[in-house]
Amino acid sequence: MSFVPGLIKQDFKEKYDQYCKLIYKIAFIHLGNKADSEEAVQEVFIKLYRNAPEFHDSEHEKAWLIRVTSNHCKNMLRSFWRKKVTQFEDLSVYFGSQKELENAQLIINLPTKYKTIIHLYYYEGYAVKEISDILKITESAVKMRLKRGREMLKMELEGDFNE
Amino acid sequence: MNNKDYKRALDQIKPDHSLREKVWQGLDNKSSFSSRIRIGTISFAAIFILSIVSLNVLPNSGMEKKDRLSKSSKMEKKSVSDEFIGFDGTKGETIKSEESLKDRNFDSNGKAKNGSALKSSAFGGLGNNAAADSARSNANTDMSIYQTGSIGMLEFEGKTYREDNDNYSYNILKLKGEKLGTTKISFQKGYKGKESFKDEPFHPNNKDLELYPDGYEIYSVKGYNPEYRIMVSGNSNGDKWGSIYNCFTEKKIATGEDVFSNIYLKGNIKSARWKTIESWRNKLEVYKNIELSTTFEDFIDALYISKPLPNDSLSNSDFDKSKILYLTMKNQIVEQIWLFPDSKFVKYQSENSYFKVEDRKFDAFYKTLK
Repeated sequence: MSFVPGLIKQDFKEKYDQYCKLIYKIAFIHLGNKADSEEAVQEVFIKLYRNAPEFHDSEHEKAWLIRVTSNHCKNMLRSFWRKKVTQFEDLSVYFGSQKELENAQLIINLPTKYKTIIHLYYYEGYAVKEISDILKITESAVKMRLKRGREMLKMELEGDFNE
Repeated sequence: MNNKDYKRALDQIKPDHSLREKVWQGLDNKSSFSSRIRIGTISFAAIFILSIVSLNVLPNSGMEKKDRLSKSSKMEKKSVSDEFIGFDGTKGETIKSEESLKDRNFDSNGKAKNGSALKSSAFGGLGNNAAADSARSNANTDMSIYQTGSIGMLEFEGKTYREDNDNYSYNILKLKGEKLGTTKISFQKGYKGKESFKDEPFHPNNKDLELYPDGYEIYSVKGYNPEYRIMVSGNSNGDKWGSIYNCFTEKKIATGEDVFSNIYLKGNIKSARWKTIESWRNKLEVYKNIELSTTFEDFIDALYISKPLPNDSLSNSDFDKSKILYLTMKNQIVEQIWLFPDSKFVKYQSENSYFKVEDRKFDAFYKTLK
């Protein structure tokens, strides 16, 4: 029995290639390990194919995926059991230098509420208004979290949050 | 750190090339889902159903005649009848009694007895169901289905049932017993306004909510006392599915028997497999069969007299050495038990419950897992 009736592999491949890195990176900064991040990717794609609404355009779809990924990761992090069994991965295998590793650990150790916002702003290049729309929070909340998140990362980042 | 450093660090985080195929397989073939994915799939749906269980039918446990759940004051009482099939294949009888299940007791073979399987509150308690505790602390009391991480939780009859990650499938429906109720979308009362929930992924203003249907049905599970085990059933793309939810730690637990007798381990295991923690972490479906030998039976016996303990003494190395048993019962339900060799603890996965097993019997069995 097909879990997603009518799903064509080519269609899936295109969606996967388009969004997988985005989803995986958001998942990784939340969950901090490969196994859970892969699981999150799988869950999000399941949701995309089983439950997604009709999207107006690709940006709408992307925003939905970001929000769903972020929310899913937050819930994974609430699990006592998951915390207990997923704390052992050696992150150094992913990074070429000690500095990159330290930076990644700083990012992963950020409080959850700042992670997605920081990532969307500084990596994906979204503006504050766009982040506000994607995550369904106010612009002032986005700015505040960007500010605090940046302080926690001791970042010397550009941007006045108003673009 | 500057923004280039941020990008450089994140650029290193890339999915494996093999992930695409894994995801595709998960989408294309339900049977290829790992247990962890199965948990997440149903649980993720379940959390969106901030439900009040609305019962208009009294339950029939299915394990024995006259089974009946005690009803909360909100719920209308009504007699029902149903047939059930126990481990021995016997069918049940028409239910006429208003007797509460709390007055019912069962022995380890699923037969009613006059013992004290349910009245163990005077004994020492487990006191360490962290997931459930966490769920309670996070949940509004009006919420009937919720989730901690990817573990589904169902509040029913005033008790918290925890999703059984190994028993979510379409096939499990053959064990569906009497309907106990239906979930309805019913958001928490007492919201303090939109802003207070703006960070919550499941608050009513989150558009994800509209993606999920209500109408999950709650059933008894044939052969089990619904005080301990129920089934939630739903519909995906026209296909009905069922998911088992368990509640074994609401009551005080004196020994392993208080849990394991209610899943009827003794005499009802059809086959057994195990996998390593590495396989579990990497979601590999790599199992080894377990011979149902005297050593195995001794271990099962030892589970019944094991002592419930907090898991504080478990070390990381104990987790790293853990092995996971998958016990397939005669009715095809799979029970998952974790073994921790340093501490001689076992964990009943469904309830996040830890038990200390007699060293000699634990070691003898653990040595057979090669």
